[in-house]
Amino acid sequence: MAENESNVVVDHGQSRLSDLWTKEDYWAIWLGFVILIAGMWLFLANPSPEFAQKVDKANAVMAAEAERAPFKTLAYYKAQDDKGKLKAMDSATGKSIGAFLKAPGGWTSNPLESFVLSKEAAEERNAAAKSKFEAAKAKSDAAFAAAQVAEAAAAEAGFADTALNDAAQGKIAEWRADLAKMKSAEKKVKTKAFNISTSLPMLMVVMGLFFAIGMKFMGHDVPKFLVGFIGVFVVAVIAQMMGHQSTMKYWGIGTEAWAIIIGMLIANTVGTPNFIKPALQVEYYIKTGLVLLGAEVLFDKIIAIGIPGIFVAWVVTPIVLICTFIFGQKILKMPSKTLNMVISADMSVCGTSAAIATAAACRAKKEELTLSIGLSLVFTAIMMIVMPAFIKSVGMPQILGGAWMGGTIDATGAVAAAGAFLGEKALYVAATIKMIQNVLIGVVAFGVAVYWCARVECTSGRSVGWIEIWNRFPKFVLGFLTASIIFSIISGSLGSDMSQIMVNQGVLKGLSSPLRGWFFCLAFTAIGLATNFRELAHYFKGGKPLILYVCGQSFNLVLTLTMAYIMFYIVFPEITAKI
Amino acid sequence: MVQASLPVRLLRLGFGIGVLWFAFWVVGPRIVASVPALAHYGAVQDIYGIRSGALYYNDVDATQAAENNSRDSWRFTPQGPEQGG
Repeated sequence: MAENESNVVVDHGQSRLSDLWTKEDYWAIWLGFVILIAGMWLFLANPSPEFAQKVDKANAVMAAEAERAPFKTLAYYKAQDDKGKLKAMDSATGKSIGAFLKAPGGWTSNPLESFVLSKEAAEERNAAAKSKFEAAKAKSDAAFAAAQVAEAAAAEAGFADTALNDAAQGKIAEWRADLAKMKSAEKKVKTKAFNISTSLPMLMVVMGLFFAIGMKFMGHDVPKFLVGFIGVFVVAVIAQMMGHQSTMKYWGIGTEAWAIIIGMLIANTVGTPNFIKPALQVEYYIKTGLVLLGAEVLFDKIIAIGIPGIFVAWVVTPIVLICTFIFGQKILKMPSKTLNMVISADMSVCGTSAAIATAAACRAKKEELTLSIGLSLVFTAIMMIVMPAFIKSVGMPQILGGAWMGGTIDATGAVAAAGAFLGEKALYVAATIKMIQNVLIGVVAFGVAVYWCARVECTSGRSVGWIEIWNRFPKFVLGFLTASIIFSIISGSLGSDMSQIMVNQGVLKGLSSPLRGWFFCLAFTAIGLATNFRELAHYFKGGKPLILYVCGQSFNLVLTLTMAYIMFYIVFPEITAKI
Repeated sequence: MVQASLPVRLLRLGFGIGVLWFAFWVVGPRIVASVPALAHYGAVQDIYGIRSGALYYNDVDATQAAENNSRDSWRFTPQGPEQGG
């Protein structure tokens, strides 16, 4: 985000060796890398040998079933589900780390339930949920039995009877739906007691000291920072609590949005207390979080759904991004290029995470990031309901509908929810397309950073040399990309199954993703606490940001649907048949 | 600019909290109750363990199952026995 008012750099930037330990960008890299190295040591160094054995066993069953039947059989699905249960973060170490990093959890009417659940209360909940679980289990078992009968009938006919095959697939699909409901009900009878009121203060101290290391070297007042950090952390905890309230699922309002809302409410009413201000280090928290996010940008993910997925997510998205940006500059004449770019990236790529990365790469103002996220949230809330309803009403196939929603709805969670609205197939396609789009963040952040340094941040008529581009380049992007490249190499070398178990469900979800979540929450809290309503309203003047978003999203909707249809149904129908 | 007095500022904070409470705990549930699609939308999120406010693919558990399903569909494509004539 911009540290001064002007986006135009007139003087030459300069790089010094001392930047490595005095500049914020580099500290974001060092702190991020410490966490990632710790994660690799904890989860990759000594993999359990049973992971590979269970994966091989499950794959052997799927391979055999794939040869036996022309559709995914019960045994195929069971093997796939067994493989999905393997997670490196389920080790004793992983569970300890998870417990320490645990954020306030879900609640309905009593916010204290977010922090503490006694053994008696947990047992009471389990008892209350028991009858629903038993009913769901009975239904699932019955559906499984019916699917077994149908599959056996199809097998008896040598899988040559299309009607019997279709009937078997239908019964298996019903069982899958009932199984999902049974698993959801099962979680409610396995509620465990927890108490994070003791771990949260410890987490606050650890995080405060962690960031204070960099603050010390950057020449800031560490005691004042630590005292202010308490205030920022407390507000962030409240934001986490609100983001997990049970009705937020209807509106797509998560932790980060609540952090901005609560922060702005405080800043614009009672006023942000002075003691907190030294800890309002927005860029510091965001850049550190982005370096961690880099490790989750795994390039081998882009082939997960084949070439159609690459076209929908990686061809359409840059076209929409660039066209929207040009539209904003040439037609709408947006007064702020950085706001234009952040909105374009937010809308075309993947919502808030893309907005964060792009805003940091082009040094947008925090108000511009806030406005962009606000716009995205409003339209996401509309699209995540309207799109699946529309898709269902016109009888669009689940795969096409899922691909369409995956490529257009901004927020990843909302995409998955909208896909689930239609069914499991739509959920899987939508979530996979969005995951592939998420990976595009790395390329977008780098491209925007280079473009801004080489073209935007210079006075007209002056050419910019490579040294000057280097001097101006936001260095944290290098950390972000390095993390991405290293983890992509590790992921690729492990293979997709072991990468899922050790990297995604180990290093990332076991350590770096929860911390990334906390750092973004701290950053958005700091943004909220430092934002003035009047300044925010200024950026919305004339309604141009809204027009930009609507026009860009309309183009996105048309192009994504067209590309999805062409790729999934005309060019690669055989791929669609496999899904 | 002269800052308002503390009681006035506290009143504003209380008003803001009141507006949020009204929006999410009074109006919101009424909207959910009157729009069946919204209720279904919430139900499927509970079933699949999804939070619609989640930021990134690693924050959504269902993404792992989705990716596994897609990859396994490629590697182990059901072919069935050859149907000879």
